[in-house]
Amino acid sequence: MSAINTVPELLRAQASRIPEQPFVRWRGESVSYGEFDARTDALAAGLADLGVRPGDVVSVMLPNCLEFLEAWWGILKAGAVFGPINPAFTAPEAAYVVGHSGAVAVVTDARGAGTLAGAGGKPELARLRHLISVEDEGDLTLESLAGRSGRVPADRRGPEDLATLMYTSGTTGKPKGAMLTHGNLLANAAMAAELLPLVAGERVGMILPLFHVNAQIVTCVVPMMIGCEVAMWERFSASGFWQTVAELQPVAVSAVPTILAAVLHTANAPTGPTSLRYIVCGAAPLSRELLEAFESRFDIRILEGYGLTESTCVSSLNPYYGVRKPGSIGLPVRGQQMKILAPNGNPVADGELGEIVAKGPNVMAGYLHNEDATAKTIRDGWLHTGDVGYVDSDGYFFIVDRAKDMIIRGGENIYPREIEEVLYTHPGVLECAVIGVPDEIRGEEVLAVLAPKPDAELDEEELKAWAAERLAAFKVPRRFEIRPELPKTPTGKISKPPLREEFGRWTPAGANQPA
Amino acid sequence: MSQNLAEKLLLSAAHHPEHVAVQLEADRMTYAELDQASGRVAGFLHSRGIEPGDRIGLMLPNVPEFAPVYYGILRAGAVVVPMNILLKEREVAFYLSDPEAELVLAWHEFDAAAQAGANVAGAECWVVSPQGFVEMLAGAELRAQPADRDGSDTAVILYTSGTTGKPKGAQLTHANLASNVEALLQLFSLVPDDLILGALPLFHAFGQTCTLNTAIASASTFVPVPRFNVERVLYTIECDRITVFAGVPTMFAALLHDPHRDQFDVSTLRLCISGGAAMPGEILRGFEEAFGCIILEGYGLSETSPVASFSRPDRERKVGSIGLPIEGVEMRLVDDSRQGVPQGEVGEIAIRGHNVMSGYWHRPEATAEAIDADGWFYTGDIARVDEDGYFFIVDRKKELIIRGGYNIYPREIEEVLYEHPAVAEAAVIGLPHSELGEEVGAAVSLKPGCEASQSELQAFVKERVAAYKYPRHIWFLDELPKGATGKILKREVKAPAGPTGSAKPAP
Repeated sequence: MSAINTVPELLRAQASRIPEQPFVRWRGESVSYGEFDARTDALAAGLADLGVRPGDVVSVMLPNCLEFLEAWWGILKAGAVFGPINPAFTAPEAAYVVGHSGAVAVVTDARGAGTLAGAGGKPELARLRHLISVEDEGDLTLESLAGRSGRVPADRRGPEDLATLMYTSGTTGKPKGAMLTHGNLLANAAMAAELLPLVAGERVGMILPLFHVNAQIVTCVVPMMIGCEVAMWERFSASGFWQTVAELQPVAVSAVPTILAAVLHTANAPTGPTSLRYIVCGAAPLSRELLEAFESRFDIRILEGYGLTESTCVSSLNPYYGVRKPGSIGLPVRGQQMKILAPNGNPVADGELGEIVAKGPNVMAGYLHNEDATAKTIRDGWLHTGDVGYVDSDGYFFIVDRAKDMIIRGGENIYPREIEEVLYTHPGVLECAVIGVPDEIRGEEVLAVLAPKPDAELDEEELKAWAAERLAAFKVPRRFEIRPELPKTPTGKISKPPLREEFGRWTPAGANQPA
Repeated sequence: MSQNLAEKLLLSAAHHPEHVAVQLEADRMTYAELDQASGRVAGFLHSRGIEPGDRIGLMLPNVPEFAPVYYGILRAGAVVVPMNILLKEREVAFYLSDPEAELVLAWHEFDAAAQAGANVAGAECWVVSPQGFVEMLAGAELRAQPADRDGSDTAVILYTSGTTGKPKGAQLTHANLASNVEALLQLFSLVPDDLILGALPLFHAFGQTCTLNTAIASASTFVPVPRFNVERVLYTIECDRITVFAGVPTMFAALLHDPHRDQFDVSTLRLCISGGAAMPGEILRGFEEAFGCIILEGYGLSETSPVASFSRPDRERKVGSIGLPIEGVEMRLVDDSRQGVPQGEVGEIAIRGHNVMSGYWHRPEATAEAIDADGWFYTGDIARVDEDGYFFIVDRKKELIIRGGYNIYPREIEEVLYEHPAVAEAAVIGLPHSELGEEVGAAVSLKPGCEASQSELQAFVKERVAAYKYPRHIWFLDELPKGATGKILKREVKAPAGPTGSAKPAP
């Protein structure tokens, strides 16, 4: 088999080898590898007809649907760069990404078109030429592009060329465009594929949104690499989860902790074993409580993993075969190095806390048009993740917290994650977020915001006592806020910035910075 | 040695077998492969009973398959009858029955009319698709030797679209086409490293000769554009590093006016070729400046292979001129009795030389009318020539407007309208007028974002030409009707219904 140098070459190779095998299932219909290959060839030819050149960015602003996949792979085959945008973005947010990336076209639906119309005419959108609609009617539809019957563009890309441009929303400042190459994607998908037990023909469930790398890599490129089928969830609902699993029969899905929590605490659990063998979980800290509760209740292995957009997707994973350590993010993937650095840049002694850094073919090419941020993030080939953790004597990594989430109270470093872990052990707590709030005496004080489980009641004094029994005094939250639910990011992670805004935020000069 | 035009392909394949002859995105055909493929087309035709001299319809768009099919027909010694892919059944039937064609090769996307028309004409129809073509060739024997043809044998029959009556088939011989190609090779200085972008339909003389045939004869690379759109052309120029682009003036105007053209790197372009219609000076100047290359304007008709004159890269290029007669071709101006006109006066262009057709197929009277006993072909185009010998088209005979006894040449008025910064396209036509005989009307389309009123444009024109010439009626359209080659189709331009006649003319 000849070498595969670009992501679309992977699709072509599989389509040529197993054209009849199903590749994607959407709304009850199945599309084979061969059909998907032909369809994306046609779209690529149509894009070339619009003047979309190799290296041009094309944005995709859609919820999960078959058209999203078609557009993504059509864009790659045209040699262009795939630039996903959260469909829930407001006009200014979307305009920023489209403008900064210099996108020449956007593939979207009526809702997205409406959002962009609100941003129309801005000078920074001067490069934008085409709005391609996935609806049936419109000036320029995806369907009409596929019908233009041009020749498929010649393959002009190599492993160093960009495949994806992912904007990562930081807690401060404008989002940065992480540049992922064809080589990045192929390397990381291979790294993940060898750790996930999957056989050609099996079905993987896609729940997470395609505008994040997790869905793209774990539930699309990896299954394609193996010859699996991707069953796309139309919309996640906790109450409908098991029914959808029964319908689609996936052997694995990829999820985030809030999905596991929601499923765990909803009724209508299956009475017997399901098709699911394992669930890959990442993107946010997974409490031991939740992991153990889910595994023991449903007899499904949870493989907690870790990675960033900047490391393409997966940097470490708990193994399916082998020891899984609850609370750990597992072992580094093969082919990538990972270690813990002290603030002065030296490796730490065993077991000590420091910043997690990673180096390998899955590390991004850099941030678009932002040499400063790139230089701060990638030094000597090492990606500085901004996450604080340690390695145990078996080589398993543990994350303590994000450096920027750290609370400094009277000179003491407090890691909210540690406190959250403790609060999750309380039987009434469903969700919790611990943040620092301004305090005149100590600079920052610890506040816990909590959402109770259905039918549970939480009492502030009782919670304080619970925490005091398990944590050093200075770590016990001084205030507790009870809410029906906590704000979330689009991927379902609990989102702290809105809480910080609500309760005020104080950033002292000279606060500890990550390494 | 045979004077079959297909010999030029063999020569190029002998010297540059691995060089790319035709490319379209991922599809690439080397000269060796094109040689082989056209040899198999000839074999295929032979197996269908085609003999030298037989007429074969060729109804393909600008696709890579055009080259091996065209050269395959020539290689078999047969005659190519190129046909517009958009012809309807009735028209296909005419194009096949008039020359008594045995067979038509039609592109799969437009084959319905071809099949139906072939049925009516009693001809066979073979559908060509990329996959089907490969299969067709695989089953055919290779005819290594081109059929022996004399220079005077017909190679191509080009039907010229008449505005009255049925089209007439101009017969172009192997010598006609070869001499035209040779003259152009010298003019364009084509080398094998050139990449020629063929946006002009190959079923018209201009595209066939100026792009495909010159490319093959010079062993350079021909890049077909199946369907013109501005972005696709800009994309191809950048991604395929095109060095030569041939188009009609409306294409140059569209490229110049595209708001996003600055996003594309067109620096590899060294030469552009324009023909088929008059190029407004504004477009010529604007395009050359914006794209950093020179545009050579050519002139000719299907009946003259087609090139009769061209502007030259090594001599002064005069804006609005169709240049000088090419090597081996004479041009002169005559009056209505076909006598030469004095220097400085306008007259009809007559052409004589190796490029003049051998005659119209089975139309001896029309042929005798068009070509006199001394070999001069009368074009129906009105021109003047300056002291340096440069020709300037004033208009076609038919497009003369006679208003109250005064001759008005629409081209002159259009030229002036193009000088107005808001005007994108203009077509000046004669409107019936009860007192004056004809009145001058103009259909105009404006550039995006520009505004102009009728009175503004009238004032503009009046400042620049004699008062009787300005258009009394101007109407605005989003764009003007065009034919397959992108030429503005005057006969499709109609005035909106409204008062004409003895009403007071606009001030």
